[in-house]
Amino acid sequence: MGISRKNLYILIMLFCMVGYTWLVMHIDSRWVNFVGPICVFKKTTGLPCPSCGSTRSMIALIHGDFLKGLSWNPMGLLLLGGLIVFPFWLLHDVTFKKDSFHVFYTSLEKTVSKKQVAWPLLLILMLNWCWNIYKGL
Amino acid sequence: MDSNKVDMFILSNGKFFESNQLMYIREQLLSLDDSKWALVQTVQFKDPTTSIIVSILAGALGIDRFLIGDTGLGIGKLLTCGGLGIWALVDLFLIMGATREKNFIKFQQLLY
Repeated sequence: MGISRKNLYILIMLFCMVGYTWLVMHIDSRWVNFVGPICVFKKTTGLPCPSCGSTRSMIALIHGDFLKGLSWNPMGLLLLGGLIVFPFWLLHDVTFKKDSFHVFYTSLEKTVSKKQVAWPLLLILMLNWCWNIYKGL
Repeated sequence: MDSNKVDMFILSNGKFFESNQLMYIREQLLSLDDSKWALVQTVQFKDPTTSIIVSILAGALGIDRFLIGDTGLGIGKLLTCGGLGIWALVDLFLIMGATREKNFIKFQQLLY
């Protein structure tokens, strides 16, 4: 038994709102240095975390520089995709009173929990992390 | 089920549940058939203390959420670097309750 539909939708909406605020803050030059890097992992260990560089990646992608976006951190592509798709998906579900996103989320959770999927994903994540450390993000 | 056995279960597993759930669990166990005792006894619950230690050490990577079985939230936390650090902080306070809630759900699944 997983998260309820209502809670999931509220959480994703919150995510998107914070995500867009974060992005705007980093695109607008007046706000760039307002917060700065906030990664707890990087601050404590000095090493980049698996998702370090995804903001820079997303900004490069928004400016149309696809290769640069990928080379910062491929996770940025996932996050940006989520930020673009999820609000429309949620809006569709809420207006038509459907729960396709909830179904998608639970099936994704189930798939990822399988050993055959989880281990390769973990390997990819680790490789990406090594790449992050190598790049010195 | 014998009330001695039930009290023994509550004593040894009480820390895995919220205190307000314990009365319900006790009642459910008392009305349960004796043949299920072996099953009830062998179920492993997640320790809230473990999850808060994991949350302190690796909360920013979402490992605590993966640990209690919230894979989707774990991925979300991992991708966003602990929800920009805010979610990781909030989870320090939420994770123990969430673990107990997961244990309760597991217990309920056991009954049916």
